[in-house]
Amino acid sequence: MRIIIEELPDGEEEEIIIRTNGMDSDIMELIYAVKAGRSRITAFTQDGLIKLDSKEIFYFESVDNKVYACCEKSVYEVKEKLYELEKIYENTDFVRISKAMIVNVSKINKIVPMFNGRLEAALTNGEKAVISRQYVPELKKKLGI
Amino acid sequence: MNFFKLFINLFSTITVGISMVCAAIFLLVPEYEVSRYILLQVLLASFSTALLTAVGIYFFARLDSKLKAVIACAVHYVLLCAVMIGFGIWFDWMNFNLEGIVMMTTSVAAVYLITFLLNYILIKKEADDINEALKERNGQK
Repeated sequence: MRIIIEELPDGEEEEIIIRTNGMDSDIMELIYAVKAGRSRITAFTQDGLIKLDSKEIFYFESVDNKVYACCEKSVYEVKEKLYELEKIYENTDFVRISKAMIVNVSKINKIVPMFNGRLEAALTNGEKAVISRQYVPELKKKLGI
Repeated sequence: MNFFKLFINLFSTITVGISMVCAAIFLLVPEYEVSRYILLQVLLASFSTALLTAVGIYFFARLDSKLKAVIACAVHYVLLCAVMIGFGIWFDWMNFNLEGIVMMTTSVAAVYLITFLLNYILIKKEADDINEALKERNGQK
């Protein structure tokens, strides 16, 4: 596959054109990766709205019908529902680990087995998230196990 | 893991545990007479305790603190002992006296420990596999 990169004059909108004989899973993954990598989600703060890069987000958590995007040290409310975020970030580093949480796999430091038979994800910012047994197959699938 | 799969896993693990304890008792107490229904009795005891444990785990998994988990574990152990003492009297595995109760509660503790260790080994292996895959995935980025 040839890769052609053209430098644009300042101010011109960037675009990616895919020329293919047919869509396959590799190309779909590439599209999702580009979309997710570039995608920014609108979050609410006390001062107004900000755009969050998906790479900054450690996990999304639903608490009392509100959804929060949790970054390394800060937490922002987002308007999307958890199932919508799951769809938006399908085929990216994000994976559902419980009814209330979607985690960024690239932010997981390690998995720890728990006393009650469940697994716990230790995140790189020191936080811990419990993985429900029913979502373990999804995580394993995401990691190619 | 759905409830049925969990139950089947527990049923097989507990059957192994009870069989191991029975084998140890038969070896250590040669004068103990073994009933021809022992296999059926072991299966019935495994079925009941696996069902009790599966229901316990179903609620257990929702606990969010170590203290609650330890309390639930203790309650679960007491219930298992009560069920097994019931079976012990019914199947004539024990006499209903202090010695019989101590023997049964010790046996339940042994099966509990074997089951706990087997399950922990499986979960630890699962965690190790995921950690290996994580290391490969995140190391590449």
